[in-house]
Amino acid sequence: MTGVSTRRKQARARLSLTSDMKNLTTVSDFVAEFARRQNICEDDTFALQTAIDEACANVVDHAYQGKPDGKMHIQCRLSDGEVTVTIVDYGRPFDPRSVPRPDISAPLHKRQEGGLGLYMMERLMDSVEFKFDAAKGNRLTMKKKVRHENLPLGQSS
Amino acid sequence: MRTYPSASHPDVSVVLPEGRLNAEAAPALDAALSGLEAHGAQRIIVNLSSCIYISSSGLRAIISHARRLRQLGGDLKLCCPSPRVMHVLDIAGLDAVLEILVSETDATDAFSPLTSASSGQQSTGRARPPSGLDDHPA
Repeated sequence: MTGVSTRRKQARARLSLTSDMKNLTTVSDFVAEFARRQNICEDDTFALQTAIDEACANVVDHAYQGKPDGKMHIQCRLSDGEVTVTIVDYGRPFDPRSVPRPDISAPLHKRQEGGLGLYMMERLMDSVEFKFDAAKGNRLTMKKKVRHENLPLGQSS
Repeated sequence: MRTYPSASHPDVSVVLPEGRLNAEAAPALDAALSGLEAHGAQRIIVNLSSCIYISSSGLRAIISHARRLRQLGGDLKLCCPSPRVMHVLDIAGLDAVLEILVSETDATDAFSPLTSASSGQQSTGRARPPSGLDDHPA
């Protein structure tokens, strides 16, 4: 595991790591553990993992252009049934409006390969927002209303 | 990542990615498909039974190779996705341009016989309701 540190507080978890593609598995495990602790249902956990994986892969590929020593900070927070995910990096900003969304109705030979990750984030999460600040870093905020697993009788969350 | 010839149709090759097909693992899928094509394979199945997650990187590799194989007169089919992986394939619209079958047997049988003139046709069929996996490699 390269360059990872964690802090955990009730209904919030943070992960700091480097922009090494090998850390994507660590990110996925981090999200799964957060979701498990908050008793989030498996389908929504999968959606969170997928969207966050796509976002982090974009940071590695585009913000840091594949360099493995960039810093990334991820926070997951659950409040009033909604998970807010924040990902901060200090790499190159990009304009999401410049990324064309794929035409998923196009025949195979006309399919564009770019933009699929961003498109999946937008489909799986309720909202996706980017803010870029030269001093404070690039901040991606994604939100999703989540459902909880039913607990057996006699158990409380 | 495993690759092997289909037991029932030696002209069909199977690729079996395992675990998370994320941006880190997608190059291995790409390399496996490129390796098969370099050896003349034109009929390829990507068996997703061991794949717990597929990212846009994995989807791009599949789209890229499917397009190339069809240009050569072959095809690429998918089989055995879990319901959640199928959901991702649906979001990406892959079920409209690639055949996604519930089993490796069905995927193999979906390729036209070698004696038939048809090959590389764009398919629009979606996986039938899951009925369990069969022909899972030992």
